[in-house]
Amino acid sequence: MTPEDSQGSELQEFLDRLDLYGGRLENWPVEPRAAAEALLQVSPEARAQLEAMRRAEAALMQSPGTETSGIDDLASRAMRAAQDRPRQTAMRRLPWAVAGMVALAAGLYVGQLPATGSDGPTEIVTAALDQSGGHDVW
Amino acid sequence: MEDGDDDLIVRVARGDGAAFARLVGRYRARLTAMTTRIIGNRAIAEEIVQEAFTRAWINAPRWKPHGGGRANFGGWLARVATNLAIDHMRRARSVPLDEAAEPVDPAVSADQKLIASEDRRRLDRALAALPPRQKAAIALTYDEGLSNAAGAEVMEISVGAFELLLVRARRALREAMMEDKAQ
Repeated sequence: MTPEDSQGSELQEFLDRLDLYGGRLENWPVEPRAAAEALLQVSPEARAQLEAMRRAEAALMQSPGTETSGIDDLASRAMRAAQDRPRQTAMRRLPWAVAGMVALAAGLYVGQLPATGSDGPTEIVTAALDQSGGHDVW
Repeated sequence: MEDGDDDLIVRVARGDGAAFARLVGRYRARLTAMTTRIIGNRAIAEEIVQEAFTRAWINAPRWKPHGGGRANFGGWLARVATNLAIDHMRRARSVPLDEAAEPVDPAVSADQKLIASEDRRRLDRALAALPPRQKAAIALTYDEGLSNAAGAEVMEISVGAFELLLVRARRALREAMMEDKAQ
C-alpha cells in the first residue's frame, strides 16, 4: 500500500467518523479523536471537510423558529380545536365496553340455542341489545 | 419553585387552562423550531405544533407519569410532532424553497453575515432534499438537543437506526457545503 493509498483510507475513515460524531472533535471518543487530529495536521482535504461540517452545523444551530409570544393564544386555539374531539377518559370508553359485553353475551346465548325456525336469533340479539341500559352504543 | 410537567398535566387533565398554557409556553419554541426544520415551512409547522398540543390536551386524562417530569412529557410531545411532520412531508413530498423559513442572522460583521447567510441558503437547499426521517433526526439532534439514544426513543427506532439516519443526513449536508465551495 502506497502512502497515498494509506492516507486515502484514513481520510475515508475520518469522513465516516465525522458524519457519525459531528464536527466538534471534543465530542469524539478519545482514540478516533487522536487519529483525526493527526490526519488534520497533514491533510488539507480533511481540514476542508471538517470546516464544511462545522459550517453546516453552525447554520443548523441558528434556530429556524424561536418566537415565544402568543402562548395563551396558541393554548386557546389548541383547546378550541379539541372541542370536536372528546377527551380520552375511561368513562368515555364505558359505553363501548358495555356494548362489547352485551354483544359477547348475545353471541354466547345465540350459540347455545337449538336451531329452530324462522325468527330466533335476530329477535334475541335485539332483545339483548335493548338491555344495554340505554347507552348510545352504535 | 417551578411546577413539574407531571403536576401540570394532572391539572390539565382536570381542565385547567392556565396549567395548559404553562406547558405550551415551556415547549412551544423548541417544538416549533424542530418542526420548522423538518417541514421547511413555518406556518405549517405552527399548525402541526398546535395539533400536537391539542392531542396533549385531549390525552391528558390518560397521561401516566413516569416520575421523570419534563423528559417524559417533552419526549412524548416531540414524538407526536415529529410523526405529524413526517406524515405531512410524506403527503406533500416537497415544499418550495421560497416558503422556507428565513433564518435569523446573528449580529456579526457584514462579511460574516454574508457567509452565514450563504451557508444558511446552502443548508436550506440541502435540507429540503433530505428524506423526512433524516430531517427529523437532524431536528431532534440540533433543535431539541437530544442524544442519539433519546432521539431514537422519540422516533421509536433503535439507536443504530437513528445514527444511520444522522450519518446520512450529515453526509449530505457536508457534501452540499463542499460542492458549493467548489463551484
